[in-house]
Amino acid sequence: MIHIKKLVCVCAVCFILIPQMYPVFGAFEYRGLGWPAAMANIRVVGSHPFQYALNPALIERGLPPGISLSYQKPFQGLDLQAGAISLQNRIWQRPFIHHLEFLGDELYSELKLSSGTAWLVEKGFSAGMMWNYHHLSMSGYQSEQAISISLSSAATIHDQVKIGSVLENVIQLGNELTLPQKFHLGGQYIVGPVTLMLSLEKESALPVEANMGFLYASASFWEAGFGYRDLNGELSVGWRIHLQRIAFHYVLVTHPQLPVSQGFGLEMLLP
Amino acid sequence: MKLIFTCLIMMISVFPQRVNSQEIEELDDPNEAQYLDQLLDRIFQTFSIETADSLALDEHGYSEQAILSILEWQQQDESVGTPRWLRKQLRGQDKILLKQDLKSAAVQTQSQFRQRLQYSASLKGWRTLNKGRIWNNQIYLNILTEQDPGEDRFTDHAVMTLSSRSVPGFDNLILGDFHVNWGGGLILNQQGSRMSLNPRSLVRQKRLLLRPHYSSREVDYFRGLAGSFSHNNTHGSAFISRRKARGRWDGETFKEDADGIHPMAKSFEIHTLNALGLAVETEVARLRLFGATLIHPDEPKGMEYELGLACSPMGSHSCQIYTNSLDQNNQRILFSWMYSTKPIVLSFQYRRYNSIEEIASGYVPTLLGASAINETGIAFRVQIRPGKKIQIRYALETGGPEQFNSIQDYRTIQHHKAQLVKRLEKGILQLDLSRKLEYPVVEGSIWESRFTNLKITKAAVSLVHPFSAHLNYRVNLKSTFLNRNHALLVQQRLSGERNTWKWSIGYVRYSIPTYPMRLSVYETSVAESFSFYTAYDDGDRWFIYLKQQAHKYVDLELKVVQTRSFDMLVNSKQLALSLQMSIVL
Repeated sequence: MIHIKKLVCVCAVCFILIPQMYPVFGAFEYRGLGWPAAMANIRVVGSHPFQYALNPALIERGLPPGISLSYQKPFQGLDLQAGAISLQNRIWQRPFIHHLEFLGDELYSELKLSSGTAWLVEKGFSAGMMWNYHHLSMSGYQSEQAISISLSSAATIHDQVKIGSVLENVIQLGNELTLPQKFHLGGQYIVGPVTLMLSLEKESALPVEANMGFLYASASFWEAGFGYRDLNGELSVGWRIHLQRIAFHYVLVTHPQLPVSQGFGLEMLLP
Repeated sequence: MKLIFTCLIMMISVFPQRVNSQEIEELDDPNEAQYLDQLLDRIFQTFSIETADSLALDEHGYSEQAILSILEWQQQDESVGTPRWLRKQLRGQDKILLKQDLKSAAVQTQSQFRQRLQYSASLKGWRTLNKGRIWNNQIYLNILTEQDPGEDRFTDHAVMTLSSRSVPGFDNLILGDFHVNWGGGLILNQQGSRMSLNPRSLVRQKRLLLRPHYSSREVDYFRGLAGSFSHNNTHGSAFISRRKARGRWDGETFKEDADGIHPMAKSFEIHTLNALGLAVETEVARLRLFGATLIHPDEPKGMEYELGLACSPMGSHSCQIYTNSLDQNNQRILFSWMYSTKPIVLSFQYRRYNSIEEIASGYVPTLLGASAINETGIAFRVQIRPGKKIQIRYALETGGPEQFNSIQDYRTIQHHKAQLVKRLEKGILQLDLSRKLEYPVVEGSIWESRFTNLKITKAAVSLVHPFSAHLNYRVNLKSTFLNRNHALLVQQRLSGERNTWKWSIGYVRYSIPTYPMRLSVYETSVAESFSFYTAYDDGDRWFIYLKQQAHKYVDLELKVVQTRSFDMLVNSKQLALSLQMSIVL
């Protein structure tokens, strides 16, 4: 009985998601439920390691090494599991970000391993590049792999204004598995404790998606985020507590038709 | 989507930026004729820092403080007013501009030669362009040859012009290929006559202009002899032209081939266009009386004339009226008025074209388009500068039929445009909004007692930010809203220079559902060329532009562009190349 219920739920999810996705790019559309998910999953701007994993140009100079872990439960009620690990470090004074992301159940799994770095072109303007390895496996089918490169930039227009852009999977090596190419453009404006983030995302054959995120960072130890994604009507909310070298976060995402999704995270700065 | 876009505009408007006039106009629809006009102005309207008045200095790009210093320098005697003294007075961009002006004034003979090779999928082959200019204080010689793909001759389009401002009795004398800009432009095809958001664009400044032809545009120019002259308060210009044009006969009218591509396999008819023209303007009291006549000996229209009156009753007011006929049933009239002070500039134009010919034959300012027979409408502009760093402009255009000849002719258009330009500490922020309402009447609508309409709203934001003297960044966001559809275009450009290299890269991503919602963007291109792209599907485009000073006198330029359409499954990627070598002596 439980198995039938699960099957019905999975079918419902597929029926809702498939019309919104281009069939070739059905895989690797999972955006993750790390801390940026609280702010409409805007990752083209911001200052969290999970945002650096999409746009490494955002990595600030002098950022200490750190590790971030996240356990995620997408679409509560399905048996999907997801998680991510992000590690930031320096090699010969150059900042690097390494990111591992997983989504799947006992029949299907997606794995993405990325590594990227940033170059300071001029004071206020940085360019970034990510290498991505994608692995897709489905029970009964041969697993598929793909390697891609994403390019990004971050422009600090003012102390309070930043603009970021990303060309995700702009170069793909091998034609075995086609990856979705996506363009992101976003801006963030910081006014006192509030950060307002806006972004536009465009994937071929899908309409332009506009997203809006708010972050309130108190002077003490907590932060709260809220976000709205225009295309599918997703609302998200989350909190984050940061102590001296450690931080925790929780994210809740609601979809108009699908079950809620949740994510928990732990971040540590390494000595 | 609209709400979020509005928020994005508001967010960026909190921190806006500095630009030159070319950059400001980037958010408007591209206009090649306007670009050519600017290029010819720059090349042939000689600017002399020793004689330029405050208006010319302002147009040239000097700041207010610099203009005061230059005017003071012009009045000093040679022992005090040395270039060194002037250099000390100016700062920043003014000093760089002054250095260029003094350098060009000091050089006696200059010459430039350019050779350009262009390839693009739409051209289906290579296009070659060769141009050269040699000039000194007395004489100017320019040559241009062009061969489009499929054309058999290296000189399919060839231009050669000799001009001088030093011939006794003449202000300017031109032998060869040239352009004529006269009066209100009611009888002559004029370059750069499109009205911009600038209120001054409604009033004609160039009323007796003759300029050499120096572009690959193969229509709308004359070949022969032209000259301009002055005597007391009277100025005039005259020309005689005989040019062979390629095109086709449409009844009794010859239509010149507009795109200028003449492949071997395609046959054209050759027709000699003969023309004679004379224009005179004289000042009586504060009135400027203008009269021009054109004679086309081989054409049915024979002779045309234009009469005009311009006045400035008070310093801040000016008005102009032009007409091409005194017959009220077959007449074009253009009336313009402008009030100009520093904080506010207002202008108004009324036009009434009641003619039996298509409007395009005179290329007069029109809203309904070239195919309309007659039109009446107004144009209004206002420009306010509430502070030193902010400028607001508003424009209204209306157009409708003067006569109801057929149901297809009945269209009315209203176009509102608003613009905000804010200079920041570094760079410029610009917001543009426009709304076009068009009411075409179609037969079915009348019988069904309902009227169709087309409402297109456009919004655009542009941010220019120099990160340093070597690196500039620009982002343009453009959108169109039509009924329930929306289109979006995002362009980012980065340009810089270091040592002998100049470079620029740009990426544009667009999603445009239908052709009426199309959006255009400018791109960096090789010197003395105009480049823009009009997008009307789902796709992206990137370009790389590189320039290197390979030798003291030699510049090499390369531009590579790739356009990709996500809507097309076959030939989705198209590559274009431009190579140019310039020798500047």
